[in-house]
Amino acid sequence: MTQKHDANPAHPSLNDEDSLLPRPTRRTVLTAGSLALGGAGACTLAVPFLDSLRRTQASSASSTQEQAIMDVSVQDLEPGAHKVVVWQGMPVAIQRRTPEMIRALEDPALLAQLLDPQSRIRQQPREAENAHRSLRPDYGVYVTICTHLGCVPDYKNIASLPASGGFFCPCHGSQFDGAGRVLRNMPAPYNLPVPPLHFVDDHTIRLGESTLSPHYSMNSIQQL
Amino acid sequence: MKDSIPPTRNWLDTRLPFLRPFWQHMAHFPMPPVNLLWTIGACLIVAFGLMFVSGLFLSLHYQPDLSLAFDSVEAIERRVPSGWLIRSIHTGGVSMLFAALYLHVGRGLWYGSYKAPREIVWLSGLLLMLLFMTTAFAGYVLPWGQMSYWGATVITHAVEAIPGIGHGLLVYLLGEDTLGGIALHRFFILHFTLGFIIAAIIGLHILCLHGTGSSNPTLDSPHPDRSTRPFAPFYVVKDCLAVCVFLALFAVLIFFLPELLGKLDNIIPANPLKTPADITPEWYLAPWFAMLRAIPSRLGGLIAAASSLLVLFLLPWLDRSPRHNATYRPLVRLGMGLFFIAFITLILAGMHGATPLWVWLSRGSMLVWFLTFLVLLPLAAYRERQTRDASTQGETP
Amino acid sequence: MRSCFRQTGIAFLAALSLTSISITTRAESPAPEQAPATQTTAPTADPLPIMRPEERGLMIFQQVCSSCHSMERAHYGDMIALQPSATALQHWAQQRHAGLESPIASPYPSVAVGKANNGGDYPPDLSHIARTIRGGPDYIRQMLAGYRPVPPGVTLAPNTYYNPIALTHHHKFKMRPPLHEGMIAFPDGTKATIPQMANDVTAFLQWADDSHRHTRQFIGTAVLLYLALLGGVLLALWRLLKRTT
Repeated sequence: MTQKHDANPAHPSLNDEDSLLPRPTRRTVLTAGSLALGGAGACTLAVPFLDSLRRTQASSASSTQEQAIMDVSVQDLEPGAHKVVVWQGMPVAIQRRTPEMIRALEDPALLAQLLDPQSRIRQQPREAENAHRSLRPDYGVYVTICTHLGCVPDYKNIASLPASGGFFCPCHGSQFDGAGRVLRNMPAPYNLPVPPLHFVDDHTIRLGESTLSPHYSMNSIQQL
Repeated sequence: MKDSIPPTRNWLDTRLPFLRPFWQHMAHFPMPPVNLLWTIGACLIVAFGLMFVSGLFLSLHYQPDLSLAFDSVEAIERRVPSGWLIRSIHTGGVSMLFAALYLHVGRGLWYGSYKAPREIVWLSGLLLMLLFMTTAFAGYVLPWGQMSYWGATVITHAVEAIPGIGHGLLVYLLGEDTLGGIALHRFFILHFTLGFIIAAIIGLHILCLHGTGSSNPTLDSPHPDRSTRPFAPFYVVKDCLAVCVFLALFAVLIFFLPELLGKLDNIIPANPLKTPADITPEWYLAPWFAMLRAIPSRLGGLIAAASSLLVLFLLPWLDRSPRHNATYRPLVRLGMGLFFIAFITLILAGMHGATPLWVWLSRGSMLVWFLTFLVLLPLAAYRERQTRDASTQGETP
Repeated sequence: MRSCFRQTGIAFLAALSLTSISITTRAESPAPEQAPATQTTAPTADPLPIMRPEERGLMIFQQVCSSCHSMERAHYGDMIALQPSATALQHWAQQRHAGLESPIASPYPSVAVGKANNGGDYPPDLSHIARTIRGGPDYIRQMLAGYRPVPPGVTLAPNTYYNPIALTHHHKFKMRPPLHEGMIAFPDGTKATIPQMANDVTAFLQWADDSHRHTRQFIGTAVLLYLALLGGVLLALWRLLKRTT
């Protein structure tokens, strides 16, 4: 039927159409109309149900209001010691390094094993893109959430590394050095993030605020 | 013709070979000339679907814990986006569902749909009604307001009336001596699980119906009409139209008359030390509450309420007349009419205080209930069988 | 004045074309509310913000009612519908040693202290007071503006106030008169007269009891219009099929 119509495209007349294409009957129109209306109604009905899965108005307001700044005193940290604090629901490891540890971070044997030894991928503020991957060489501060699938790596010496200190993820065995840099051929694709921070004084680290890179936040890192 | 079937259809038919026969059966299912009362089944399916979906989404936000239950319901009303809308579908839906359910059962009674060969359709339907009543009762406990708590206390203590094992059974069911956290959790699981069980039994109910076909209300009339129409499209459209009207009533109830839904006392958290002034059940459970109250003995009330339901299960065997439609059975018409009045009276009685007037009205209604089904119906059936004219009356299955 | 028709039209289109996921949130926006007779707008050139009565009521609740009453079922954060500034709400909550996600608790550490401070009557929780109190919103509105000087011949106990509308204690009411002329400067320029504030507080308490009243009616209208349309099409189809099949 349609072939015949195509064969004569130059002269589409009313007469032709009447004989060639069956006019939609009243019944077809009404059926299609009720199906379309019914379908639209059913879809609209789904809106409140899906809407209810959204987080509540007040909780989103309060989470943006939440104090994102936290001061941590590191007075109690001996060289070589570390501690873990919780900042915005994330574990943050703070290590105080010995001079040997700082030196070890620049060991070519170590750098050769790292995926991103120069910290080129934006997982840290600019001021931490250095050999020790921190603001001050004697303190390393890292968000210990594995960049693979979000487990929390333990602070642990990695046997194959020359330096002491490092992180080991128990989920899929990703290994990181003492500056949170991931080793080659590990499931984790990026180094551990450095949170925005600065030193208020010699013994106090303020998390959540970076004086040198004011726009750096956990939302601006590569991993997300 | 076969070539014109789209390949996708063939693909599915090859892999799910029952699909096409199923849809063909549904589309060609022969329907006798039934009236508008036969569309209530479709409304019930829609009402149940809405209850099921809204219930699932409510359960995502509800906390079945003594200290959290009430607040979680308030949170659904106040904080969960669209939570108030979902909850009003659920709380309004239960009234709409029971209204349709009782009409559906009433239609079955009036038109003799319980008779051979549809006994299993009737019995599965009654089972559904019992399950709906249980589910509604369990669901009413969940918000843990004053009325939830005291309604549940009163009804669960009716179990105590069972001689000998009553108290032990009550404690066993509640999990502790009084209604508390364990019981609340059990009520929640019961309410949640029954939704799925009901869905399965609805499937069975419809399956049974499709085994025997719908009953024909015209067969007992002077001009029986034995013509049938396929279910699609005429009855599909008719059912959809009825569902449309049903949903409009539903919308009026939940959007414009919300004050009819919530009991005032249920926005006060449950307080085991203070009983509210008058405990009234929701209207759909009121008849049986009235029965419990109308009999001075606790055990007697329990037996009366239970047997009022049991007697419905016996109907196919109490009424063995070949006639179906009460319209053409004078004695049954009278009995059924009185029964419907009695049922409404019991609803009203259950919702009012236990004044002597309402107690006596409930007693009278109970008498009508049992007399209709145990005396009037068998008597009418006996007389009709005696004077049966074998040539014209009676439906061929 | 926002047109009721326009709102309904929006809802209807949304219901039909599914263009708007935010139908419910949009509907929370101000619905046409009858302006109280006493409302006057200062004749200044600056456009004043338009405030709904329940928004002014929230201000009164924050500054007056909440110093004795709780609203346990609501959280501080729930008021974001009336006070869009989360910071302001946070500030209010912090003043009361709470957060946005904590309930608006009674300022009294115990019922006994509350009673002792209010002549023996504990200030009731206001979460659902508009529904649960005898007389409902009308009673609240009249009672709040119903304080009168003590007539001769009536003697009042200490911490008792004469209010011929109040239902408890035969007009010898234990709540000290909460509203005073001009006690609040509303940003929209509404004069803080006692009847005006009584009206606004009542609107707020109604909102606190049932914050979805306007949305509900507006969705209900949309649903009914949709069902009427669908029903019309189905009815036409049914009548056609009745003739032809």
